[in-house]
Amino acid sequence: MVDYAAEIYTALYKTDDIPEEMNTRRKEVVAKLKTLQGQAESIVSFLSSEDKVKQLKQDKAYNLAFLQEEYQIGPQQIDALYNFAKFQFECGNYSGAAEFLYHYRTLATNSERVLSALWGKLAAEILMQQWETALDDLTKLKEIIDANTFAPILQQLQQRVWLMHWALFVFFEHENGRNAIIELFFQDRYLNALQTTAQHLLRYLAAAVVVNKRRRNAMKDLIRVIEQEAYEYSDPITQFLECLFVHYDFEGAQVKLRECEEVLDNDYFLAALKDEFVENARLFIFETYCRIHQCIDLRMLAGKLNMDAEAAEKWIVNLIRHARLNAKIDSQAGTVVMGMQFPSAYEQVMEKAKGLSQRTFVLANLVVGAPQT
Amino acid sequence: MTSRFWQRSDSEEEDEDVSAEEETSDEDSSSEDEGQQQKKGPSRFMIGSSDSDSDDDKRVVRSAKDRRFDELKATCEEMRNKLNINDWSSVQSLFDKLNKQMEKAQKATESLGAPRVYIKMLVELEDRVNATFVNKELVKKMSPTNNKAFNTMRQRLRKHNPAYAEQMEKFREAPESEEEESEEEEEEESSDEESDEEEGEEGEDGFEKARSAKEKKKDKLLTMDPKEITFEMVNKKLQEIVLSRGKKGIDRQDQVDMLTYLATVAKGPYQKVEVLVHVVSALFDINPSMSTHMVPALWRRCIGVLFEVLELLEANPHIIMDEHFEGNDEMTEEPEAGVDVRVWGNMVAFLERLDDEHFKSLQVIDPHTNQYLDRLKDEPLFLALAQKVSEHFTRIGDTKSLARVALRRMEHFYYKTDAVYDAMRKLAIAQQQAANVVQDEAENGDEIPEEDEVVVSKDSVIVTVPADFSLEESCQELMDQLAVVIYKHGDERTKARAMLCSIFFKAIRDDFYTARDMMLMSHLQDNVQHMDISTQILYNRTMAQLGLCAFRAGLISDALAALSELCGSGRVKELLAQGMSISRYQDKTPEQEKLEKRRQMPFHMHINLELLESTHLICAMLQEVPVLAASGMQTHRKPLSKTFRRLLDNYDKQTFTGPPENVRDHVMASTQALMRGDWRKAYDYLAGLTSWNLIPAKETVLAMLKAKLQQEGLRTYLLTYGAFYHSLSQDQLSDMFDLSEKEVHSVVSKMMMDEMLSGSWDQPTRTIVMHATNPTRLQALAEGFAERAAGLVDLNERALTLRTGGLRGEEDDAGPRGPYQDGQYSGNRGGGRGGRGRGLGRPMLGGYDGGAGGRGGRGGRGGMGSRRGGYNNSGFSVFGGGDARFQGGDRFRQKSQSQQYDRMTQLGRVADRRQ
Repeated sequence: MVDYAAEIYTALYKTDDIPEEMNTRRKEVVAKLKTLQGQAESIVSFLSSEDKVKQLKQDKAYNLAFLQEEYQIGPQQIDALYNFAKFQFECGNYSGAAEFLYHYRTLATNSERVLSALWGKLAAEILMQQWETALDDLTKLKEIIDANTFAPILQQLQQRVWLMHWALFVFFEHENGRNAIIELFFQDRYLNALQTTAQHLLRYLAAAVVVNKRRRNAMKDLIRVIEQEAYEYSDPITQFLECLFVHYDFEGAQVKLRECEEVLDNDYFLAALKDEFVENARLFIFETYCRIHQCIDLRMLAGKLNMDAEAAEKWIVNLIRHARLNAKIDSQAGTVVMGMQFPSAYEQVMEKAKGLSQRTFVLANLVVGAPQT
Repeated sequence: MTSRFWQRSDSEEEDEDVSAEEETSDEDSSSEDEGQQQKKGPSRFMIGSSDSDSDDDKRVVRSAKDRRFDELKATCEEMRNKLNINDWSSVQSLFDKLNKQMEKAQKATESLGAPRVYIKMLVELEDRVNATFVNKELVKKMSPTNNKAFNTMRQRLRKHNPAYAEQMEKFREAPESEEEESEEEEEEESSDEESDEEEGEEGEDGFEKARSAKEKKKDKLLTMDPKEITFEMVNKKLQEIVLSRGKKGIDRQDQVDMLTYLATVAKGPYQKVEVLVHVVSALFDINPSMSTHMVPALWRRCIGVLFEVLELLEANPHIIMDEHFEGNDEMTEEPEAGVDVRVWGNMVAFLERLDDEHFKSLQVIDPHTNQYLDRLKDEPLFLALAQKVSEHFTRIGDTKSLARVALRRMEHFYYKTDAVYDAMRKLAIAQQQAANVVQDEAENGDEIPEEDEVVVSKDSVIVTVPADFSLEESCQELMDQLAVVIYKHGDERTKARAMLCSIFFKAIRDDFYTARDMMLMSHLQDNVQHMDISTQILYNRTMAQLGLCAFRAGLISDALAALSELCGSGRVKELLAQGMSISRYQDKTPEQEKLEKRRQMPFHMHINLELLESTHLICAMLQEVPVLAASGMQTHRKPLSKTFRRLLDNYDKQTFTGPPENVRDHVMASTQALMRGDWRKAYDYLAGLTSWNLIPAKETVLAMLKAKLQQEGLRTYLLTYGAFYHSLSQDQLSDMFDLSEKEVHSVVSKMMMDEMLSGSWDQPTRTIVMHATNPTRLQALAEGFAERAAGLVDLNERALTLRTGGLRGEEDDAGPRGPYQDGQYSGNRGGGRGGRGRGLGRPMLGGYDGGAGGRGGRGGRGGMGSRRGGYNNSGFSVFGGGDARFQGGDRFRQKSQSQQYDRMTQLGRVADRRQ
């Protein structure tokens, strides 16, 4: 890291001399590295040979005894491994750190240390941009945190919030992350944590929901949360959703959408999502608009969608063609006429009676089965 | 000389409340006179008699006195005889008799001293006992019972005599002359009292002297030059007073005076603190009953004494106040400065008692008098003291007590709005300045002797706010500081109360979200029913303020949720402790009534009930009217506010409705107008309420109300009359309801989305096109049937859930399901979420229901309370609710339902058998 800093320094000031403090710092670091390396040497050398590692088994206790017997590697060495790995991480050698931490986890017994080792590993993976493994680690971490229900509530909350923050890195890079973020954040405990201490994460959740086409039902929950938290957190993205789904203020939504673009441009995580977001948001506006209108002026619509009339028409035709929209274009009047479908009384009755027999059947089964259970 | 005596006796007669000065002079002279008393017989006699009674009654009283005196003498004589024959058991019983007579005699003569005869007897008795004890042979000779009696006698004398030690000493010094005299007396006993002046004089003199001897102890201290009084003497006297505390026939006021005097002569700070602490408890003792309050003057004086104590404690850090410390009699000298010494006393208890007394007096005093105002002005005084006490506890590091004091202080601040707080602050400053002026004058004026100051301060108590007392600029900061202290150190109850106070405080400052979050996060509504009544009252008050705050912020549903339980109970007064509610259905025992009276809030802390009621009803109206319009007056769904529905029904039933008079009438009239879609009239009715004047930001609230009425009016209009139109113009609507087009669009769009309004916009023409088609009768019936069938399955599922022990209970709770759950709870799963739910409706109501349960129990109506408590939590109650709904339907349907139900269960049974 010091080397890196020195590099930057030289690049920045276009000189070759490195300041004195950096040199001394470097020396210190190297010295420390040496000592730590010395401490952890035995175990590192053990781990570096694959054959030996293969001798290890699933059983931790056995492993410990085995190491102790064969290689005189005791708890101290294992601790040294942890420290060494941490130092490696600090020095920027992430792959080494991740590797050591992985082994440490298989050997160590101290659950707290294991947890922080896991955090360390996740950090290393994120920094190396190994999203697949990072996702694995994230899941593992989540399991540990969720299993640890005896910890003080405050600590649990803190851990969860950390996890959510770190998860942003993974979720917005990993291909399946956008589903995962919705799943994770909408879990009761995490949603609680989010509402309690980390309302700013709402932005990412909102963006993920908007972008995600398959999870339309998440929108309802999201809107509720946004409404609840409106007094504590609001940014253009949440405001956009609020305008659209709470106030049905389409002009306002347009304005907000434009603001959103700016925000998205400047957001590390969401920058990549910008186009997708805008496209989906437009679709949202349009869909909602259509739901409550039976007849829309095409030119006005084009204005709302930020397109010219021609493009808008094309866009709508496309929608109709893909059976996403039940409408017809009246080109003479320049309007879009929605095909209205109103549930007839017959359908309503059907809807209400639907599932009744199924439920009754289940019920009857339960009644019959009850004495046995 | 004679005239001098006359004079004196007169003055003594007049002065019932014996002031120290006079008493002293009297005693001085009497002791001076002792030698001369033979010559000045007559005048002595006059003193003695005038001491007790006026001249007219003299005869009677004297004879009564004499009778007692004779009895005493007779007993003494008998005792002497028994002594001579060493019959100790008789002596013992005679001794008891003697003491009793002695007491009576004292009462009869209204003097405290012991007569000479008695003292003489005591001396003899003692001598005899000592002599016998030394004479071992004699003791040996005695019979076992006798021996035992002798020993007891000895013990008792040892205990008994010290009280009279001084008099006995005196007697021993000069036994001869008086003995002779008394011998003479005895001989002349039977002679006529009028003629025999000398005898009477002697007898009286005996009393007088004995009395003076008794008083001497007290008086000696009073007369003595303060410099001569030793630590030990003060200590002894203190012990004596402390021991007599709470006994019958002791004038409490006297005790206080005596103690106050003692405090002035006390040697060193340690003793002073000790005495002062006792002064405080003696002051508290003056008021014997718990139900009456302490006289304000005494209260102020008490504060003054406590200030003094605190100053001393501050100046002498080695003195430690300890509640469990038993007084140490052995101490004979003022301890040195460096050594830690303990004093009995509990600052917190004193402070709390003072606070309670202040509270009580405010409860009792008529709030419309100046007296009440004066009493209120004492508040800064108390706060100053509390602040000092806090400082004291911070210094000695007693965090627990610190938290208690902090709570007390907090409870003086939490209900104050900024304006009130500022006023109090200014008052405190003004009082301080006034105090300075007084002080300056005192300094300039003649130096008042110490003793006089005590007397002065007794009569016109001037206790001033100390100069170093200052209130924070902003009440907010102060509250925060106190709250932090309490959260850190307080116990559960203290914390809960502090939390409630903070919420209340936030609520009256329109900080609704913080207040609500604090309320929800602290889970107070779950626990409040387990707390003491005064905390429950505080909770109710907080809830009321929260509701008002929500209303002011325009959050109607939140306001309704907070208020409905409180206002719907019909016992608002009782729940807020703002007066007794008179109920036809429940008779309170006098004890209950008394207890309730003691809980009442003082007037200045009241929450205006009219405002509360109107707020509640308006909230209910805004919520209910559109619902009513939507359901076409079919009341099959659970009403949002039962109270409102009931009132509305009553209003509708009236054959003739006059112009509105009270709050209810106004709201009802407004409701009617709103239901017709006439929002302007509705607004006029509501704006006519007088209670709006109580809201500081009246304008904004009314504006908010107007906006709400416009919106709800629009909704109601569309729901009621929408079906009769084919299309409605947006412009027309916006005209009708005075709303901007955007607002109309928003409201209508929302209704369309929620499928409340079956219509859609026609954008080019800016109209709403209605699609509603009235279903035919058959369709409607079929729909109804399907609904019922669904309800039936629902019911069955719940029944089964109950039977199988709530296997699916949680699921039932979480998901909105069934017709009776949607309105309020739909999309409100937040309530179930992790217990921290932000969704206000559910947890608040649930918790509040629970709270109501607790409150119901308090009023001795546990049944009702518990019913309410389980209102919307368990599956069972919901089941019950559903059932009631069926009963609400017509009989036939109900029957068919139950038949179906029977069939279902039979089916189940058949299936069972098959198994």
